[in-house]
Amino acid sequence: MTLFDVQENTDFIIRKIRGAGTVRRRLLDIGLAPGARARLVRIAPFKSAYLIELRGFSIALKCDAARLVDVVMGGRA
Amino acid sequence: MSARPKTVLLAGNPNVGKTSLYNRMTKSFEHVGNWHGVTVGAVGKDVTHNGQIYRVTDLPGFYSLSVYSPDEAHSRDALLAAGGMSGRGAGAIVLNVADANNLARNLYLTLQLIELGLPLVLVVNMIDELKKKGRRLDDGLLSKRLGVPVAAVSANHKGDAVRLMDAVYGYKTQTPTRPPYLDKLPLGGVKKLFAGKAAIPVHAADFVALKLLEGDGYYIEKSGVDKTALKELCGGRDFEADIAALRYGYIDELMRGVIAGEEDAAAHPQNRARAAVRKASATLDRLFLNKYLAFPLFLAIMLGVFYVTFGWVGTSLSNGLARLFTQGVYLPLTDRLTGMGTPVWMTALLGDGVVLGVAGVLKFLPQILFMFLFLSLLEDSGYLSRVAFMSEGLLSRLGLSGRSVFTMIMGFGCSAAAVLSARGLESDMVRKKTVLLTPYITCSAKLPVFAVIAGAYFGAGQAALIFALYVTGVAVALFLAFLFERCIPPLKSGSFSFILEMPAYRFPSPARIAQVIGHNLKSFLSRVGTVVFMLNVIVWALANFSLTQGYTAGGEGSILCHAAGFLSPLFAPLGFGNWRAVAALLSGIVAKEGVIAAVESLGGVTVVFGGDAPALSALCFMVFTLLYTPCVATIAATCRESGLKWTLLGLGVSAMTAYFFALLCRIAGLLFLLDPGLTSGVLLLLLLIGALVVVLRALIKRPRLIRACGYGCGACPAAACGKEPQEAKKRHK
Repeated sequence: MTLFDVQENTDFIIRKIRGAGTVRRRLLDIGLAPGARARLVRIAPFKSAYLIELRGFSIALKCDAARLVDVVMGGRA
Repeated sequence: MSARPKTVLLAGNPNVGKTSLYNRMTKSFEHVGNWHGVTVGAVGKDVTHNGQIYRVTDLPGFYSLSVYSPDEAHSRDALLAAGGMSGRGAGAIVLNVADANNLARNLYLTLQLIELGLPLVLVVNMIDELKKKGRRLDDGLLSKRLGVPVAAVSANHKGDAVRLMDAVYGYKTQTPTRPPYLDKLPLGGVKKLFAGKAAIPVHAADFVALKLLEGDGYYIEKSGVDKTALKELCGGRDFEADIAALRYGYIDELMRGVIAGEEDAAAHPQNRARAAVRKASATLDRLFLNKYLAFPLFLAIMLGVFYVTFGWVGTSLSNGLARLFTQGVYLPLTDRLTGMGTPVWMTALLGDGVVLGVAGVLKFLPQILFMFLFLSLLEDSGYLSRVAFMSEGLLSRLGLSGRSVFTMIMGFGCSAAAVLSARGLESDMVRKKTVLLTPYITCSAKLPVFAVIAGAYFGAGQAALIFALYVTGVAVALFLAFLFERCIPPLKSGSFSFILEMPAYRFPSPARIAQVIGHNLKSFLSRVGTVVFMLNVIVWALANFSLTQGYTAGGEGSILCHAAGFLSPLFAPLGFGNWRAVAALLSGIVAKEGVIAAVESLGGVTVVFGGDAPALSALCFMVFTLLYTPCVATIAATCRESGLKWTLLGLGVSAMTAYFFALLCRIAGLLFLLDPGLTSGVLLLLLLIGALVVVLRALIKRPRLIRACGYGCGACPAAACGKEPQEAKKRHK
């Protein structure tokens, strides 16, 4: 499953980042590397953006970026 | 003795306080804020320390040496030059600023700087916030592991800037610890590919090899390697993800035990305070990011800002200041001058031209300060980032980004400054559109124009009318965005992604508030004292002298009368086709305050808006002023940010929009004067039908969410996300 399908207030572990190009690189650079633990905090209206907590800071991702993040559930961040 | 480094570069992630440190080190007042990307271009200043001159440069924040937007490219180029990769600048020392609260993520950039082989000092900023949380940084341990000097500082402490300069002064070349993951990668093979092809210094070879493995196009092009050979070497392995994971894995090792106090924190009394802060932040987020409350709250906050600025608080302060000018300066001055037997034209120039014109703008000082103060509170508290997050869904439908919100809201202060802040936007098209639309947001210089004219004709309804004008400005900007996105294919935004760091809530310090007030006070006074003052004298002189008759004392037959009168028939359909109004609009192109200053010095509102329906003319004039050509400073900024073509497009669009909406306003107003009941009835009906259509469309056709491919590839149409279309899946393998 991808981050897009995760519910609010759940923990997950990043498995893989799909896609290509600058968006993917930015996701990796900002810390969404495979194996990282994170938590989905909030989903913006229309499912347009996702707020996640990762390594002690918060980042907002647009929905299409969220689709690139393959996750597995579980693991306290 | 080896030459000491002379150039000092401040580099680091966004929002870690680089500019705050820079301001401390160089005693400057560059703009700082609590969000991602306040600094958009490099700024530099010379500092002398222990007799040595240093050029300290503050670079825009960035996460990685693989960049994403033009401001980041700026930082990358400066660092590559410092690393001896291109041009001059070698021998620089890099102060890598990191946020103590987010050290792990910040070290990701540090590792890349180490890979690049730059002379480096790691500066851990905001150490005071860490201490408040009851934690300690073992900087000695971190320094030993990294092989790089570590300085723990806080930009809030004055003395820390000196300590930092000491660290730069005392810097001795040392070789950082080689990150162990480098040896797990086939770097040797890659290095063979570019050997002899590009002038890459030995110390940066590992770095370039890594970037090539990561597949960064910029470095592939620069090193001139054969792409197929590189692909073959990678053999289908996803090095991009692997390298990121390796770096973060190493960071976890580096960080072990570096920050103490995390485990035994529960027992610490200070920790209860920390828990309370976290809880407060979470509560605020629950409120500001609530699905249903977020937008009403945002509107309420903005309404509050306008209420204080334009309600009795701001207005009575401004009126008090105006009384002070009239009674304290204008009357005594003209009395004195007349008593001394000064020529009438001289008295008129000094009294009407200079004092009334300048005072007409100057009296709005309190309201303008309120506006800037509120804007900086919104910015510093971290609230604007929440607004950007929540409005992403709405704005992406209009072809803008949630991050456009920053630029547009800053536009309530000064359009020219706001336009610069768009540089951090990721997509080129969105950035240009944001730049183009920001001037429609009413800037603080238009505030006096509306306040004076509305005050003269609409009395009690003044505040409501001004608020309506502000709303109209925002509505027109959003409407134009919609038009560009849906109706003009070349102006459609491609798909782009939006990755925004959410800053922690911070309470703005009194010192910061004082700084904002002081800075804006100074810039407003100097504007009024130079541009507006000069403009006034020129307008007054042109309006009161004729080439043939000399002083005309009223303006008919004057130079300006002829010049502006030439254009005035154009404005006759809008109800203000007289030369005075046109002259006021013309001087507004230099600076928006010029509009009202010119109106005042050309005889005041009653003279300018004559005719049978002066109030309606005044209203149309305000609508026109709201939307027409931005001031020269904004035009110049637009040109710098988006190029000449876009600037010309913007000028054309703003002229047309202003004329169209002013005409619409005029027609509606004339109909209203003809038959108030019928016209308001028809208008209300049209509004209702419009609302009904929108609601019905939303109900019948469920919003079509399926279009974005979800790969952020840039080739697929921009839209909201929904179910993933099969077609896009195919296209992307």
